[in-house]
Amino acid sequence: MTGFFRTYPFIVVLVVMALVFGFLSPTFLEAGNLSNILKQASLLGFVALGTCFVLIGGGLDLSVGSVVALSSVLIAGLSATLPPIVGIHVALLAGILVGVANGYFVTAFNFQPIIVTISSMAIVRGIAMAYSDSRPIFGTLPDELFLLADGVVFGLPVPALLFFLACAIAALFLRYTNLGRQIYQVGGNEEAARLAGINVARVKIVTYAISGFLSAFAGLMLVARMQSGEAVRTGVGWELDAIAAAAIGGVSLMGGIGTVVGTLCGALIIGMMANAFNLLGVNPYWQRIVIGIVLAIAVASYSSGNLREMLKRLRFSKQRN
Amino acid sequence: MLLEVRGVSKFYPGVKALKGVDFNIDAGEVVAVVGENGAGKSTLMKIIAGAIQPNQGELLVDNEPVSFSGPLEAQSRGICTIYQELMIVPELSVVENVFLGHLKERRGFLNWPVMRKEAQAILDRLGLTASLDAKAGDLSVAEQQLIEIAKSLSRKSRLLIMDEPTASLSKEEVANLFELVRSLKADGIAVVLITHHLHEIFEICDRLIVLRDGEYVGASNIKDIDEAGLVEMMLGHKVETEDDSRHRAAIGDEIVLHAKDLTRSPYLDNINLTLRRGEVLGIAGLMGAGRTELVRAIYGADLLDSGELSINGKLTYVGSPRAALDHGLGLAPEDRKIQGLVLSMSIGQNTTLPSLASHGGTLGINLAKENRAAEELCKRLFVKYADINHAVGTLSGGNQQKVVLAKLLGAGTDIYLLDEPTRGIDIGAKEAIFDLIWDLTAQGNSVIIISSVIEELIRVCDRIMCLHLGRVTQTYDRGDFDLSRIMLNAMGKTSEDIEAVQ
Repeated sequence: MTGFFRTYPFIVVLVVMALVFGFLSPTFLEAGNLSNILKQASLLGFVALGTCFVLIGGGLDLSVGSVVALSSVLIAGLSATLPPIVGIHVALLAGILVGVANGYFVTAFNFQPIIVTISSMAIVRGIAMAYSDSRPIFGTLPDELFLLADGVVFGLPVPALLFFLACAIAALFLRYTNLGRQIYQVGGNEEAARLAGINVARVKIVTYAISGFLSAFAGLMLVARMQSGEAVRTGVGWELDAIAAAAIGGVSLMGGIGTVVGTLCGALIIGMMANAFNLLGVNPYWQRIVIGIVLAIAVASYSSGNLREMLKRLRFSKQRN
Repeated sequence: MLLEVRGVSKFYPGVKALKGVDFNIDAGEVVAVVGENGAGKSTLMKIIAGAIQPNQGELLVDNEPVSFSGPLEAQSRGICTIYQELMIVPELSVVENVFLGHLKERRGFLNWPVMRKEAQAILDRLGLTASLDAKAGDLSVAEQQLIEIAKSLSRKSRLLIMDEPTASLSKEEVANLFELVRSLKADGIAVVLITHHLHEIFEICDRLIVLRDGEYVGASNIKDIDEAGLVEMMLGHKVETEDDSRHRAAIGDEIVLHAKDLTRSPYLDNINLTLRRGEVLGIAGLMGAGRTELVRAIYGADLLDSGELSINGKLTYVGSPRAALDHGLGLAPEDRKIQGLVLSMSIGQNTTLPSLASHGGTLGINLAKENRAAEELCKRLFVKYADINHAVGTLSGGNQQKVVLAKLLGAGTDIYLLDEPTRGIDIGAKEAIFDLIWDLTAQGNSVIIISSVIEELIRVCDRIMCLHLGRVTQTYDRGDFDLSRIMLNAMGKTSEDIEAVQ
């Protein structure tokens, strides 16, 4: 079991954190609150899952938050005149297209991913704002859609259920398919992957497309919850929260390393902290500060092997002084 | 005694990398640390350099015990290391590199006049003619190495550890380097040399110590030992003598690879070559002769300007490594860490990298089957590992190289392009690779091998082609091999030039 904890330290962090919060606030561990956390965390979770793919493949996608916004206004806007299923398809397709475009510019011209996706972040947000005229769109959406946000199946809120399902598919994909393995290879050593006969461009474009798709899907879930679409404030800063979630879960920003389980836990940890701080009435400024500290500790512990090694070194240097 | 190491041991989880090793060196001595890959040379050097701390044992500098918390502390005691992978910042100038990490300041500002003066003095002493303002990345490897040495001299170093310093140098550059080592020695600087080239040990060193599997095997004065004795100490047994009958037997008439007028300026200039089934073709040449570029072009890793390639008699366009693999070509690239392996992935996953599709079941990769295939391949090449799921980066250099070759075996290749497969690996691993090459050709595969060590080519090849500045200067069949002629051809002399001199 120690091997398991060393490989998945974030699970320990998740459990310990839940127990501590439960101790501090009696309402925290109540079923209603836990389901609330799952609902909220799963929204960011979809985006973080996409980011996890891109990061493992050695890329970076900052356009995710804008894609969430575009998807939300497309669904809400198109549903005014067309059946919602059309709007949903258009939105998901738009997400994939943004991803493919990101991947194309990164691979075909060898542009830096950060530059390409900063550009698309601005462009996509601009398109969403132009489409919605920067005003919230209250579409005439069918009630079934809201079930996506409020429904409960097997005792789990539907968004969480869908998120877990997506995670399961993603994990199986990464572990058991050729393409999944190639993502790790390309992220771990692009040149070696190319010389081993892998179509590097294709693999990278796929990761960005997955990220675009999952972000658009998060947009769909958001519309279902808010019953409206909005372009200006939706998903702002999510790209960084998604990267933070992935990094807390052990995904390396250098590429080639990371797991879906880790990303899932990272998203839950961030969601849990936000929820618990609200329950405890912690000042929002402090929330940001604590999230920052958690991220720093997480990344430090991964980059130095593991936390135990770090503590050992600390003790060692104390002995010497 | 300048430096004394007493009974140091270093454990890693599950591995004892070093067991009670003693070592000492005095001012003005040159001592070689010899051993196969994984013998513990690097571990010992890292302990001396302060990069890692031993679990047991002690270090004494000037007869007083020390305990280094990091390389900086070792450097402050005059111990500097020049790693095989040079620590040059290519975008910075020569003078900035020389003072990297210890720039001189005066009242909070950088004192360039003093630094330039000191750097120039050191460069003059080293015989480096490059300008102080030249970008370090624009210099040759040999010159970059001199900058590394300059760096340590500027820190007033008294003990220089050189890890495989000659690995990427030409003969002439090696001679210059050794001349320099002799003059450093005369100035009382001690040098620890790690090398796989035995003749270098006999040329330059005063003493040597031998490590095997992390254990101290013994020490000797150079004058008390010969090459055979040293090899026996390293391996723990005698080397078998060469069996020449393994050559030639396998060669068929069929031409499996025919390249016509391959050109990729400025690296390749109208190169023609043929490779028969079962043949081992060696490519001799200096760094920059176009050797690597030639095999990369054949493999489709770089695109040709012009030229034709026929595989198994059929004119073929190889536009990408994928296409090359599909045609049965496999490349073991020159730099295994940069081009050959995904260091973050496991040994097994690296082994199956190009052949993954063949381990698929209906529902995706069959992990158990993949693992078995990887273990099988690694066993065939005698890769030494603790667990096939460990990261490939934890293996020693020789074993990493074997994993690169295992990859090709699994890919179903029948034409092997091996770029410097023996660089930086020990005698035992080298023998294993030669054996593999002979086995492959006996089974009807063909091999093109590049090596900077012509003796190795002479040992293993059926034919040797000499390359100089992108042109073929001469080709020799087995039986006509002549070390000095091949060397001259590789240095750009045509056979007429050689005849004229003789």
